[in-house]
Parts: sequence; structure tokens; C-alpha cells
Amino acid sequence: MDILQYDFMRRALLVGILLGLVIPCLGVVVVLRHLAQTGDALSHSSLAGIAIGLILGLNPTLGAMVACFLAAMAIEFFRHRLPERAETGVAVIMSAAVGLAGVASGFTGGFANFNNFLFGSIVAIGNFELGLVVAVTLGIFLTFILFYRELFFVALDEQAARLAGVPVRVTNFIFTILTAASVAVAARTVGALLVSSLMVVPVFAAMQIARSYFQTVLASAGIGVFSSLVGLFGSFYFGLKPGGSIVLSGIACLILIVVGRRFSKVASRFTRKRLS
Amino acid sequence: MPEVVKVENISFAYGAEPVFSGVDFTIQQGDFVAVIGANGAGKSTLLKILLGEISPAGGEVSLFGEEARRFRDWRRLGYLAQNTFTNLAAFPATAEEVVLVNLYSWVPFPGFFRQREREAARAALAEVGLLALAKRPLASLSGGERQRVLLARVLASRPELLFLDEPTNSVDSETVDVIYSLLERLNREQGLTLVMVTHDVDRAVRQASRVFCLEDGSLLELDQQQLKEELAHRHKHPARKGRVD
Repeated sequence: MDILQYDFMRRALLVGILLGLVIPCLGVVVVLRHLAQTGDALSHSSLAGIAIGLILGLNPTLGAMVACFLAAMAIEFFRHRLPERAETGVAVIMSAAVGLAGVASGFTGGFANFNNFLFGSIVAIGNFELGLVVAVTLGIFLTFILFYRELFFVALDEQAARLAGVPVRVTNFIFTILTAASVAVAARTVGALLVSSLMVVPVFAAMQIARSYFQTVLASAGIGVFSSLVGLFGSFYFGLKPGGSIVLSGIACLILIVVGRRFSKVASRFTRKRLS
Repeated sequence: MPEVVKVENISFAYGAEPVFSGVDFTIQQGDFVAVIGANGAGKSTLLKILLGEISPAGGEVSLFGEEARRFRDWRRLGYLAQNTFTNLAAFPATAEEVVLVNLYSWVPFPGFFRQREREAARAALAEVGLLALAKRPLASLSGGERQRVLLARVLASRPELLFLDEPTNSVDSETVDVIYSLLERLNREQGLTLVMVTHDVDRAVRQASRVFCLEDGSLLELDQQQLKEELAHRHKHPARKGRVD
């Protein structure tokens, strides 16, 4: 295949597959716990870290990681200490991050460079970033599998989970850290403005067809990987922006699944009528 | 009979608004206790205090002889919360998954559920009459069936003490009968201790061995005459211990 002859595309495909696998797995918990806003707040926080990283001459992905961890800690603080105001707290953190990113972006010395992080630049990944993405995504995936039961129970019913002996605070903390790490590494590649879509769209598509929690996780990861591959192929052959192509591929999967389900329902009703 | 729950002189207030005070009672193993009272009387709050979810303003609560604040042996307790089944209507999980996950403490971390836990989950589903629906997603079940799945979830871990908050609220009459007959059988045959908050005075009188009434900031155990009056809606607390004015 032409696409595999290029080193940068081989890297992009590896990163796309890893992010497409890991982000929707976490996305299942994000969606089921109604925390999509948290994903948004973290992705916007990553922008502030990227801008500060660029100003200080540090690796922007590391800047994004630091910013995401700080934002995650602040979100955890609100969730624990002021649970009734947690939603407002998340909105305030997101607003502060956007404000900081907006101001800091004026000092990054080149709008084009910062712009790459808004919509991603998966085809321009260096060795350091490739290593970082591989290490972080594999770490996230392993932790997700180790905490599979805890994350499922806390998403299902936090109160019952606590009574069953699940360390709910530890589980919530680990989940927030995993989400922050995944958002930080994906900001460079998929784009800070698009990463939360990769967290939500494959999960919503999977929920249309899955019949269990396990199937939802598998289908979300499958749709995430498929969207990444289709998006990257589309980007290579049609000259499209990779981050946007990946998200639009996910949206196309969602539409196809919803329409397909509706069609199969109508068809089975029609067949039943004919048989009776 | 061993003492399972001991409550000594507890009080609770939301800010400056007193809910109840001077509440004392003990529950022995094998008791089936119903707590009745008007909306806002503090029935669910009392349950949350017993579970350690919230702390009382004053007084002491002990579970199985241990101070509730220090109690950690959660596997001895089960709790069926009010109206949880309505929140789970769109949750993508099968009935078996929902029951299985409550056996969390049976498998040390990190681990996955094995055949033993799967069999226990299926046995609990059989107990509530839903084994045939074990692999069905929650979304395809009726509200009553989802409530029975949640009851199976708390029963699967074989608790010694079960708290139920309005277990038959908003469910069909068939489910009400299934739930009460199962609770009655488990109480009679296995000595399961039950503490149930309910609005259904008629059921409380018929099913429970003891009935507590929470009214005007105080708790009173009703005797047979008071139960008859309660059914006839004529009950008034004859003696108010530590009444909140």
C-alpha cells in the first residue's frame, strides 16, 4: 500500500490506532457518568499547557500533560468538597483555561504552530512524541483493564459501589488521571478541540448496537480504531486534515448505525406483517 | 438474638431546620422492621445515617456491635436505594452484569469474576424469577423487572442486614408481590434482618414484625392498637420522646 511507504504515515497509523482504542474505552465511563463536560474542560486546559509550553520552549505535549493534571486535580477538588457545585466548578475551570490559552497564544511566536494543536497534526509526530503516546496509551489501557470492575461499578451506581467495598475515591482519582493523560497526548495528534469528540462519538455509536457493558467497551474501541484508520486514509488520499477526518469518520459510523438500526426495525416489522 | 443495629439518642438537622431528635432503638437479628412516616419526616435520612452516608448531629449508631463510623465490613450489609431502577433505564449492561458486579469483594484486586461469582449472580436472578432474562440488557426490561434485578444484586452477596428505601415505589403490582414474598421468605427461612422505609402502611403492618413511625421529629414503635389506628389514619403519637419543637 502506498500509505505504508511513508514513515510519517506509519507513525500516524500507530498513534491513530492506539488513541482510537484507548480514548473511547475511557469515553464509555465518561458518557455513562455524564462527564462529557469534564472531557471538554480537560481538552481546553491542555491548550493552556500547550501555549505555555511553546512560550517556555518546552515540549508542548508535556505542557499539555501538566495543565491537564492540574485541571484534573481542581475538578476532583470540586467533586469532593463541593459536589453540589461540581458542574459549575468544571465550567469555571474550562473558562479559566480558555482565557489563559487565549492570552498565552499571543506570545507563542507564530499562530500556525499553535493552530496545529487546535485541530491536531497527527502526521507530524516526532520520535519523542511517538514514544510518549505509545507509553501513555499502553499505561492507560493496562490500568483500564486492571480497574475494569471498579470503573464499571462506579459508573453504574457509586453509592452501591462504596457499600460493596469498592474504593470509590481512589477509583475516581485514577479515572480522572487517566482521562487527563489521554487528553494531553491526544491534543497534539487529534487536536485539543476534537479529542472530546473521540471520547463521546464512538461510545454513542456503540451504545446503539451493544447489548452489554462489555460489548459497549469492545464496540466503542472498535469504532474508535476504525474511525481513526478511515480518517487517516481519507486524510492521506484526499488531502484532508487528519484530526477532523477522524472525528467525521466517527460521526459517519454513528449515522450509519442509527440509520441501519432503524432500517432493520422497519424491515423486520414489514416481514412480520407479511408472515402474519 | 444478637443485636444488629443500635441507635442511641441520635438527632439530625438540615442547617437550622431540625428533622428529628432523641431517636433510640435496637434491631435484633431476624427482625423485619418497617419505618413509616409522612413525606419529609426524615425516613430516608435515618436510613442514610444507619448506612454511614451522613453523620448525625448527635448520638451514636452501631452496626453489628461496631461504631457505624468505623464500620467497614460492608459485605454484611445490603442496600436497595429508592428509584435507582429508573436511572438505569438507558445503562448499557445486562441483568447478569449488574448483579455480578456486587460480588466485587469476593475477588481480590486485581481480578476478574470467575465461575463461582457467575453462578451466585445467576442464583440471585433465579431467586427473583428473572434467570431467563439474565443476558438481556436493562433497557429492554420493564421498570418492575429492573427493580427485581437490583434486589437480586443486593441479595447476591448474601447480606445479613438489608436496608430498603421504598422498594416497591413506582413498580407494578406483580413486582410488589414478588418482592414482598421473597423478603418474607428470606426473613423467615434465613433470618435475614430487614429495615424497610415505606409509604405503604398497609404492607408495613402485614409484612413487618415491627413498625416504627417517624412523625413530628420523633420515632415511635407502634403497638398493635396503634397499628390499627394507623391503618385507619387516626394515629397520633401518644408520647413524644425528645420531640423537636
